[in-house]
Amino acid sequence: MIRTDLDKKIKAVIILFAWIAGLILYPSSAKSGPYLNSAHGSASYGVNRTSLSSIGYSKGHCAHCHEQHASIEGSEPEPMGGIPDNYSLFYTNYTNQTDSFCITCHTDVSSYQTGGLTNRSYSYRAGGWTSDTLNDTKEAFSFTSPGTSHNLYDIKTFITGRWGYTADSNPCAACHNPHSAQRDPHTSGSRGWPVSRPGQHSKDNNAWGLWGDAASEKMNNYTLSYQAPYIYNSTTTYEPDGSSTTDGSNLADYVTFCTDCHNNTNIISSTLLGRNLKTIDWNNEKHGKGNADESLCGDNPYPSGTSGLGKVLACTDCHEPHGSQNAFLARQEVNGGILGGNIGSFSTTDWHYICDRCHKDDNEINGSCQTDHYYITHHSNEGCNTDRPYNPNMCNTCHSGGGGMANCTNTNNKLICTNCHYHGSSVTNADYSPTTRRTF
Amino acid sequence: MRQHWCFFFSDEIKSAITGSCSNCHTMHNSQNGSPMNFDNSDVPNQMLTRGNCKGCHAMGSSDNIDPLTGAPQVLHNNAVDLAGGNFKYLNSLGDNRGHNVVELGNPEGALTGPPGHHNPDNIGVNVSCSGLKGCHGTRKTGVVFKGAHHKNVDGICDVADNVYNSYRFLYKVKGYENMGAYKWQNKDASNHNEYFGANTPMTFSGNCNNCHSDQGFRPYNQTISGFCSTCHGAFHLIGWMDGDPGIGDNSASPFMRHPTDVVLGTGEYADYNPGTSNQYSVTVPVARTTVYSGIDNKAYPASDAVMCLSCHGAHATQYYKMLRWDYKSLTLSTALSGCNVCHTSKN
Repeated sequence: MIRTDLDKKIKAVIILFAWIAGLILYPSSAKSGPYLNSAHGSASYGVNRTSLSSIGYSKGHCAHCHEQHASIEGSEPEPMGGIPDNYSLFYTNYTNQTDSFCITCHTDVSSYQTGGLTNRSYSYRAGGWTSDTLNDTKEAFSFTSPGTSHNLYDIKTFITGRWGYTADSNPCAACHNPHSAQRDPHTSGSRGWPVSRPGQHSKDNNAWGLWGDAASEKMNNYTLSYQAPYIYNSTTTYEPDGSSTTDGSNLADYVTFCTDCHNNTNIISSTLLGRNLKTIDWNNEKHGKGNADESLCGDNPYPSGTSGLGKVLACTDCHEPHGSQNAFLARQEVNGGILGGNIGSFSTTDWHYICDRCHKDDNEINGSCQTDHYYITHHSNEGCNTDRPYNPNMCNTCHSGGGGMANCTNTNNKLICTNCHYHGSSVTNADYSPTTRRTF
Repeated sequence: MRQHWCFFFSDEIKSAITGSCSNCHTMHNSQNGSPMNFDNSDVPNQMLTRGNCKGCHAMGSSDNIDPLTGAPQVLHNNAVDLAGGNFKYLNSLGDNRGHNVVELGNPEGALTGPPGHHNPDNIGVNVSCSGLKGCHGTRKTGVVFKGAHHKNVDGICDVADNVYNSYRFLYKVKGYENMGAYKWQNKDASNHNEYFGANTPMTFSGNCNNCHSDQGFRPYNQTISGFCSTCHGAFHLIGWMDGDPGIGDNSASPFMRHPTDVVLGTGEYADYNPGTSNQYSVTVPVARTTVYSGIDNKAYPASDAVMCLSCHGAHATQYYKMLRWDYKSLTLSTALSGCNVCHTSKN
């Protein structure tokens, strides 16, 4: 009994000590709200426009972005053009893809903040591909053909009138709450959450919270079948933080996040493509919650045969959020390795570069076959493949110049993956018959 | 119990002024060979007073209210500042702590005119206590105060058609002057002035009469923020001149400048002064959109309005840009502490 009381006292002292230590180590966290905990509102690395820091404004200060009267010290620094913009911003909220309020600081060249801001690609940050030279947001949004970037004009058009966004809204705010968005070091044990769901948008910073910071907002909450891809050059550690976690419990549920817009009902116009985007039904697509039919030949960590069935990907496993050197924002680093080349458009055989990162090509299944070809998957039940859709003697149906019985060394032209396999594709979308199954 | 010792001014004095006439007036500015002016100058003043504005209201003593005359002091060394602040900070901390009132002898050294004023600017940089380039009294040339002190309407100023019945002698401005135990002060939630605001700012639209009138400058909407805008127009009005948009083209967010005379409203603003159930904050006070007849210790975000004085002191404060809190503190949470009284989710 005496010992029990003593244990309680010791425990109480330990708890008290830990609490005091916490106050000492994290003095502001106890009363900090979403802004002071954000990347912009950080007292140590928050916004710090040079013209204001030079006159003594603290890092993270509102005034670095919002000039209350468009006048400080009677004249300068005054807003660009001499007049303010909406939300008392010091610069035009949005002009075009590479000229907007956010970009004035988020660039490494001529930034309004001394030294500029370094913002890396997702492949760099989550994928661990630290050789990627892309180093700022303006650069990411500057990709043009063959690269692509998330089109801010299209985003602005799409969100206007939805979820409380107006024609005055900055398209960056479709994904980021500037008063809450956090820096994410992508290091296990040190994470931040940079996005907020557009579908939850509110001018009330408390109401429009971060997405991914709660357990209910992780990928493993969306699906128990998530398998994290490898981090670059590793077969033991995984995205997005280089840890051994593979179930998505350390990844924001980017499927739910992205499908606020990119779902199976929203019509999104693409200026670049000159058409509406394909719709995405992630609950049924094979890379989503829909299953592969019988088997697949996967590269680790996606197992071959039937055990790999049912895996669900996150959007960011394949796509960059801001921009990339490939079409459709396809990442240059996927599942631990670099793509073999760039993907320049929708209709190109180059798509095998990204398919290769997770799907075994002929040579990987059978060493006597060709690399970057998928004859076995489509025509031959051998090795890990048991559900070919086509017979080997059906070459001419699809491959011009083909004929007769083929094999994996056949020189028939490769077909374009995206003739059949793309978001929203279905049996009837495929150009080739007899297609009898879902193709994506 | 009012006392009426004065015999010179008959009826006009009977409701406002108490005490001996000689407290404020001197017949010859001489008594036993010494001047009677408070500042000991031998130059007599108009109305036979013992001081001009500065002489009576900026004595620089340790009293924030002069014990003899009861005159509130706008420049003093008392630890407690009055609601408008204390002009001493201009001298001790720099020009950006307040309005550089020319009578106080510390001319503006940085600005060339009132920020937000229009061109051509005939105000100049150094404002005065009263008159054409001043704040108090009739804002025109000539006699601007005559009789106002004696007819002063204390407390509720809901008529405001003359200087004497305007809030703090700010011509045409309505409001309620703190008449409580801490008169002249914004001490706490239960002891403060009640400022008059509106639910929409004035609109320029080429209408010079927002500010200009035959009776002198005055705010057409009779709010305290409208009053400030007579010099700082671009900071208050919907639409402005010289290609400047003012606060924007309407009274709804988004604004191009921080608005005034706009109701706090819903969302994060409904939590004004977090954790206090909307207790009135004297650090970030709000204006009432009706003229109050007494002090209310609560704020009502659904009807109360942000005003210039929500953030700024009227005369001078100890803080950068005459703000009510240390907006330029190196401690970020302190710098934003005032902002967060209204922007409660941006903390």
